[in-house]
Amino acid sequence: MDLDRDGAVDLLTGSFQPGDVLLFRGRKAEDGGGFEPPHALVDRHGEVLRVGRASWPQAVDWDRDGDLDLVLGNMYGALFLARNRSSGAKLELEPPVELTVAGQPVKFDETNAAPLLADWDQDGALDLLLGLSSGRVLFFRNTTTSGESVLAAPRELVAPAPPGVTGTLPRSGLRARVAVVDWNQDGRSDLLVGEYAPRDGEARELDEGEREQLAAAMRASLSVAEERGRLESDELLKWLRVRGLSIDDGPAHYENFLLDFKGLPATRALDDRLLELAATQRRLSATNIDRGYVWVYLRAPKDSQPAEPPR
Amino acid sequence: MSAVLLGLLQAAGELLSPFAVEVGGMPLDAPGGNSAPCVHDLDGDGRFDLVVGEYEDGAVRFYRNVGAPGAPRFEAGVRLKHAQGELRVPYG
Repeated sequence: MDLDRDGAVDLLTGSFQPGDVLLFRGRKAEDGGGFEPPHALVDRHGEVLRVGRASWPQAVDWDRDGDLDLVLGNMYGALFLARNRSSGAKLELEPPVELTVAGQPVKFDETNAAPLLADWDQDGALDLLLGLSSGRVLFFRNTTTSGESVLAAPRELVAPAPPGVTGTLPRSGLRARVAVVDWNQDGRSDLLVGEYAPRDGEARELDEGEREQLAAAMRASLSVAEERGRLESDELLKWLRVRGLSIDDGPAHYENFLLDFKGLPATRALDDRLLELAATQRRLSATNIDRGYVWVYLRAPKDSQPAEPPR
Repeated sequence: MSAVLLGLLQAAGELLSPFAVEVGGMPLDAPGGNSAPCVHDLDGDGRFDLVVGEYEDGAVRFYRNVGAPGAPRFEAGVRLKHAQGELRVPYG
């Protein structure tokens, strides 16, 4: 994807917290190739583009006006659209708004919405494929071939993973993340699905020093998490107070708070510390080894597939 | 928050049972799990490659396709870098 249309492939990613959308601009071969360091995308008002934790962006010309817009998912199962107003190579993104189907926001009672725009039914229009926390993959057919994209109600392509230790199953696990490619070159798009699939490994024998190190890391994690929780709670209370809300309103407004909360230097430092401690614990404990395969779902032979409804 | 869908139609039989992408005869297993695949011909040789995000360090790994058309085969993954270091994204 060449987001800035300068002739070099760029890398666009989301991130976990606070959920900045990051662009690693590609460099042309004559300039050394590779990528530039990342920068967070901003909207046309100069505000950092955010939809919440675990952002998942996709660049697509949603309204077919000649520029690239962004469709984004987040950790809470919601989808957003950030329109590009430049009609050209620039990024002049509007703040994200909820994406709708039949006038209703697209949101599920699942987490980790991971959208992909691809022409799944190969009719010339980019459809929406959506991976979700249960491991299921939904297909929203794009019913238009010009102007604004309009999505049909979804159809399930991949069912949710069965409950249990998904890392032992011969299929994709949880938190489906999808890609589309003609894997076997039969002229039809196939589906690739990434996963989060917990599995139990065998704990290795630790020496005394390693056991003390592991115990210290676990104690430190609890302490750091408590401190971080206190800082965030303080900020939440201030946010509620400014809006005339009470502490009882906290749970209902927590997601909105997270969209506004850009983090404090102190909370970011604590987040980094928690990640270091988690890496230490993973390295030493080696018990739960989460599987992360990439699964290929080839298309079934054409005569076995259901007929497409008329546009 | 509302979550209105008009109904889900099961796409029975549209996809075959899956198999895992392999590298060197073993399943490609993104370190730390949370594999996030993307397809692109990154080396410009006419074959699609895999670019896969992983949980470990928030890194992104490039798996070069060296197979024949219709029979992709991937080399061991290499973490991508940018001009100032390893390419990583905040994770948690």
